[in-house]
Amino acid sequence: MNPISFLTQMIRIAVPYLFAASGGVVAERSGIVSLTLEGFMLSGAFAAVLGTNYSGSPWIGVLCGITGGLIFSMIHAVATIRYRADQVVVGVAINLLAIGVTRFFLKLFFASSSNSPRVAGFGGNIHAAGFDNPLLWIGVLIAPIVAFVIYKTPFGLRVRAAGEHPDAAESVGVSVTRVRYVAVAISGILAAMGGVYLALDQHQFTDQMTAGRGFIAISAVIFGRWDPLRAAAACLLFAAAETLQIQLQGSHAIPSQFIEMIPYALTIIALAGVVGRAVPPAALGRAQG
Amino acid sequence: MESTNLSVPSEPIGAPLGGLMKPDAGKVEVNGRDVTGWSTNDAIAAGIGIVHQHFMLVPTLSVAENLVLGCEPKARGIVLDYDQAAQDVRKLSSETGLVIEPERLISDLSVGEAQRVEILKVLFRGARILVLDEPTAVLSPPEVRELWTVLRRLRDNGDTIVLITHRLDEVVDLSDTITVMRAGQTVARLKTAETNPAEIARLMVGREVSLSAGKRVQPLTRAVRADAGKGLSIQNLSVTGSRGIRVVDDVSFNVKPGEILGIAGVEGNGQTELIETIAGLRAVAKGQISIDGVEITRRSVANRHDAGLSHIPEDRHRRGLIMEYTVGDNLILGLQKHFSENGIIDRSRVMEHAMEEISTFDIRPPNPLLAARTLSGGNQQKVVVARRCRCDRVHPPAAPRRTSRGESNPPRQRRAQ
Repeated sequence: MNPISFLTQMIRIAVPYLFAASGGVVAERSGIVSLTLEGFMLSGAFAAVLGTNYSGSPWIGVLCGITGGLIFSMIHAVATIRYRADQVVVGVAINLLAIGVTRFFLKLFFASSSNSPRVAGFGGNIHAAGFDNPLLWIGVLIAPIVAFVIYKTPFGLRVRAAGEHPDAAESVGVSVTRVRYVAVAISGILAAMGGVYLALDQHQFTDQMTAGRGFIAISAVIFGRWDPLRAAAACLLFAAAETLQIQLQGSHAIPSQFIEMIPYALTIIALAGVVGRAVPPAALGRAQG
Repeated sequence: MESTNLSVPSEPIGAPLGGLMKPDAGKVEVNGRDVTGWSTNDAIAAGIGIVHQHFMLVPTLSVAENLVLGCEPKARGIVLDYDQAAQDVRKLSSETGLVIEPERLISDLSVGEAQRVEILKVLFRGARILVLDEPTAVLSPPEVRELWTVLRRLRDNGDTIVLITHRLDEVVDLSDTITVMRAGQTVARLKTAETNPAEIARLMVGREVSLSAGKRVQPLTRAVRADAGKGLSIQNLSVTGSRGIRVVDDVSFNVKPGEILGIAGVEGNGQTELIETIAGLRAVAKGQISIDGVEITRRSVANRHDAGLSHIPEDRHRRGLIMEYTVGDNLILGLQKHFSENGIIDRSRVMEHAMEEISTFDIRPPNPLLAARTLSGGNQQKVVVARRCRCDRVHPPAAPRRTSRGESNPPRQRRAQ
């Protein structure tokens, strides 16, 4: 096995996770459960392909993808913050809604129930191994940027306060509602970027193309104990397991299903407290006001 | 709250501000300015700082982070200036005498230290009017003395202090003027120098009260039955708390039949954990618990009940009652097997039982079909006590005063067994 090709493939696989998990960290630290990452990714992927297809420019596609994720994240935010609906139930509904909506528009715009036509993308130089894609570099840098925002800026301090003790934040005049809206919007944008990368990398949208990547990102958030850099490390670990599975294909040394289980098995182990206790933000999942 | 007038001149320490609840009628003025419909931000801007009874501090953040939350100092436009924050905290600390390290996490502080942070927090926001809601409830006597020193210093600096308390000695000790409230209404405004504890107590309760009773320790005149080996026995009990720290350390005591044991101490010093361990809700790290000589250290909660132990929890919302269940159903909680036949609950027997308990314990309103949440706190407590008196003998009640504050104590008559 070539270590360079292993690393480059691992990073390419990790990018959607890095985007989505970074978004998940922001929303969850503010107290909003991020079961919705899968739906945000899927809507971002579809909107990006739609935008690229009609404009011919992948950058317009990126903007459309972000808008798609933003729309879905605002549905989530209004339901859970404004109307105080249960975050887990709404989260599941958002994921199902995203599957239905993308499938419906796939049929409407592209007259297909399985995939869109081929669209433009970034890079494509065969020798660059995907590293001529600007989205990949943004993805690699996104976790440190989120860590900086969470730990070094006033907004980050407010996000952490809103997720741990919203009443304390309110009592000093911080609007927990506003902080959470912004945090959910950020999670929508970042998770959608993960979907955009995925779709433009494959130059098309296929039905349910995110295939559980949003859930792996949530696993990374939990495994990383709600810390952006640790979550990013978890994303890389999960991506490494996947790369291993792909590169071992044909050898039949380990059944591929066992490799696919790794993220989920690790999450269960993390939650069970084997590698230090995973303590979620105290107000996670609780409506405020 | 009904109609209350409260005016506090600048400087003296006096005894519905803050903007968390809106007044239905009336007016709030600060320095002559009408600020009635204000928000939390307006209250802060007007210079009012509330020190809440339950601390409004984020446990996972540092002292400095809690202090600057909402009014963060910035460097280079977007970055939170931690150095500036720590420096500001140190400066304020040395000015007020409220000493605390800005880098420490709130979750590592003692209750007294957390309160210091709470006071620093409102001062940090430029509050000149300090409202303290029952600040001494969680403090030990030396911590209270320390707090008094700080409050006097703030007063001498020209700050206004509103102290909400039900402890007479504190009122007399510290205040310049007193506003007595009863049932949401102002009943009197007094000058501390011209009044005395007896008068304040009379105004608080609405009738003469004897202040000496309860102050002196009454010698035990009743003979405790000397049943050897009977009752509750705790031997060298140690318990580890949720944060991995030993919260109960080698505690031993015996309570004989016919005896009441009081456990004294400031809240948060292991009492809750001790009670929960006896009740079977927490694991024992070391030691033994036995009832009538039978060891129950590792038995289940249900098993302990059968052995004669019953637990009246500190927090009835969390552990005492199911708020959405009816009074009747709450009264048979845990006893349902005695009220069912072939796995089906006999409703008429539940009703009969409920009516009986409602009249014995004077639960109001006397309707077994009301949801527990619709009852007042005191009446909810009666439901808990009634259920526990049904078939049990040993009661460890945790902090009963907190559970029925402001209401008459629930009757605790014992039923014939």
